[in-house]
Amino acid sequence: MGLRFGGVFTLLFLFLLPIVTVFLSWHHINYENWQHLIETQLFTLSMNTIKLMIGVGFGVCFLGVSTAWVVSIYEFKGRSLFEWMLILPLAIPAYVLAFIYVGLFDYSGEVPIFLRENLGTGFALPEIRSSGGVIMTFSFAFYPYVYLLARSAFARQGRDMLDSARCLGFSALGGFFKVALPLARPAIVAGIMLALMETLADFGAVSIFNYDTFTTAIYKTWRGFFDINTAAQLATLLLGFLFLLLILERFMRGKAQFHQQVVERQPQRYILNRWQTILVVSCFMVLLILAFFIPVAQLFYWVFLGSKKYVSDHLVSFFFNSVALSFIAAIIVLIISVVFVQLDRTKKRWLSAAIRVACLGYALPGSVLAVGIVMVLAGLNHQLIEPIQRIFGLSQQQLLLGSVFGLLFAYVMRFLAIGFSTLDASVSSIKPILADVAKTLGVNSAQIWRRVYFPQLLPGFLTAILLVFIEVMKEMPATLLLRPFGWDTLSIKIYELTSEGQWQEAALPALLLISVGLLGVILIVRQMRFR
Amino acid sequence: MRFTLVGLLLVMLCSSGCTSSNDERTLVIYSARNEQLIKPLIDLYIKTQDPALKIDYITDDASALLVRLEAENKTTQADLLITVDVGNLWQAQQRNLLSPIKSAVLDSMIPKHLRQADNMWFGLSVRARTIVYSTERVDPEQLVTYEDLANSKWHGRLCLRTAKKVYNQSLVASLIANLGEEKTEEIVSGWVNNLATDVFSSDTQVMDAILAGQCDVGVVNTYYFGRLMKEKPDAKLALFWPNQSDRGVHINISGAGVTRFAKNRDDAIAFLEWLAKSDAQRMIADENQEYPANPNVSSANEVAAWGKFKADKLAVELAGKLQKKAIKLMDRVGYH
Repeated sequence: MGLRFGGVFTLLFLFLLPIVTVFLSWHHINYENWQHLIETQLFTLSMNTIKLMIGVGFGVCFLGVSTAWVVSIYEFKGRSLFEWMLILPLAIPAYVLAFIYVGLFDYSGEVPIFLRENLGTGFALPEIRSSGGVIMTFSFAFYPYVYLLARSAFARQGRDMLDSARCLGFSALGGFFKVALPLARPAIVAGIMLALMETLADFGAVSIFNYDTFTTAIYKTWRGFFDINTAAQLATLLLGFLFLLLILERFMRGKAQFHQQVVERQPQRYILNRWQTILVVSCFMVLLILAFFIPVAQLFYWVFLGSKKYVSDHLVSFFFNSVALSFIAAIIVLIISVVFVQLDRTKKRWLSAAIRVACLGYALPGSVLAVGIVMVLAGLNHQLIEPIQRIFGLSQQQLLLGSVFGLLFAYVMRFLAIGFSTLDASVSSIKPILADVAKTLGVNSAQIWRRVYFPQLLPGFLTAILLVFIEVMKEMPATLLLRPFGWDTLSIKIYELTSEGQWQEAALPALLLISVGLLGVILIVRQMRFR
Repeated sequence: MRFTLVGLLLVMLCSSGCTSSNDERTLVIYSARNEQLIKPLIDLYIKTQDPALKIDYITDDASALLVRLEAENKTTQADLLITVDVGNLWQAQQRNLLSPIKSAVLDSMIPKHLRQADNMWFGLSVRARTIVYSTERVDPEQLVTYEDLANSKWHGRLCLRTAKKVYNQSLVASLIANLGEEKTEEIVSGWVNNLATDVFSSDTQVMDAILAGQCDVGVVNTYYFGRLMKEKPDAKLALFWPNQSDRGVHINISGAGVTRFAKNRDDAIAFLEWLAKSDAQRMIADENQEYPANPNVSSANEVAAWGKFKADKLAVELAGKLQKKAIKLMDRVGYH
């Protein structure tokens, strides 16, 4: 038992190290650069960031919850199709979406040119390179998080509660706002937090819009002033802000608990009439066309148009590397998330806090976290491995940095939040009485997990694996900085080509990446019949 | 748990033992120039010069590579650092990550203003950042200098790329070096006043905006122009070489240096020397439509067709040195 706890704490400690490293940047303050930041930009970019958070928060909440609600509660033609199609935009990296929208809707883009030529110069779309444009892009890219989590929450609720609400005189909408929504709150909040964390961490998409946020300032401080300390300090402010949000949400939730009845196999859905169906289907189609079909069509167009100059012979190996890394990382994240979710349930406050901090890696701009990890790996190598090499008379070599191990560590560190919050949300909805009953029947805690929790958590497991798998596929900064020689992935190819503006040639790896994501979605759907 | 850890360590140690017992010569490159640009060079070098050599490389953004080099310190595997933009090379040298190179070949082939004074790094290709204009709406007679783009005659007609891009930081740094900080601040603030729309995230978008009529002039790197003209040969755009009667067009370089803790210095220098010679120079320049750093090598035909120009002979190193000043200046006048 002691050994096991020791192992778990070592694990937790290991995951805290990179975050702690980032916070340690405060040991030295560069007043000159801070003064410059405060005098010139800090206010504007804080406001921009807050605007973005509020906008994206509402955007993903509205899109994710409304779609999840409709597909779980109502029956209509095409429901089961939309149920899984609504996840698809998740496979498209936000920066790809951003680039395509700017390309299509900016002044020199195809759409405004078409409009000017056909409707006269007076007709103009709202400026895409604006807060509104950025918020729209992120909302489309990240709403599937909320959708996925809210959908399984609504599905677990079943109809009984709603029927009870109706008997008590609530309208359908009243039942939604007073019963279903509050019950699904942990799941919805978890989804929104994931979306917001990813928004905060994003650099690629905002820089395509040239929209200044906290993250762009972090990059500028690092890449322009080469002042990694001040950059890390800015990043810690970002984390502090996020931590406040998390605490606020906990506080507002109070002591409320959200356990639910296990639902019957085939939930009875309310049936929509023809006009309602047409309305719902057309709304869904507009959403999917904008968030998925337009970008995919554009990529296909580029592939067919594109010069075949760079269709690398190595594409297959990039593909394999991407899939292998993503899959292994997803499994490890899942295992560690299970451990952490269990730890979290031991009701020790400091443990829960430590886990939450370890999960913050997701909100750090990818490069900042990657740098934190580089420092940690280099330090570990220096403290642990070099002495051993000395003992055995081997040459002093770098074994951690640029190893598969180091890269996987980075992935797990970065995407732990996804695995943890997905599982946490599913576990929250399981009545503790089930475990208590099992205990009275003489079942030990390991068996409780295996026989009580696991069967109910299976959908949660698969969702977590799918999400992490797709995220690792899309990941760039850590892969770039930490990969071993020869371990180039699809996302690295996309980076290399797009950083030089060769979007047409990047279209093929991008499509491959998206199709692997789709494959993941489809596999899960078939496995679970997406129940 | 403990056993797993010990096992893991043993595996790692063994793997290091195995690689170190291997006496194959390996050259390791950290490159900010992307794979599609360096891979052909590496392949050619191995094929024609040194078939026994193995070359490993990773590519990334320069600032990230510097962090990794610095963290790895003595244990680094990297022998050669290749970057684009002189600001990055200057940083590498500033942080003591490079070591001086003694090579008569490099000294004779790369001109003085394209290399570091103590031979810490050498330029390998030259890119010019110049003015591009709409041939429909602009008479090239009206164009003179970078400074003149601040003139009110360009009000609402200028498009620029974001100041976050290092190319613009180097351009402004060169203005500071030539004209002083005060004058430069006036000029850059004039540019900002003349902007037709928010600054763009890429040079290509700047040219697209000019083509669409959103603005009439812009400042871009020549190879982006070359790439656009390849795609749209009848685009109504042309390059203008500014400041020909005084200091000349602002240029920047991509270049390379040998790392401080290089394990394989000899091969690193040999490879670098080969990169400065005509075959490689032509390849480096042509594949990205840049100019060769070696003055004895001619540029590709389509590049030569843009015309000859007088280049600013200011030591490119200065642009690196003044980069931070340039960024702060641009922040002050609201060029983001």
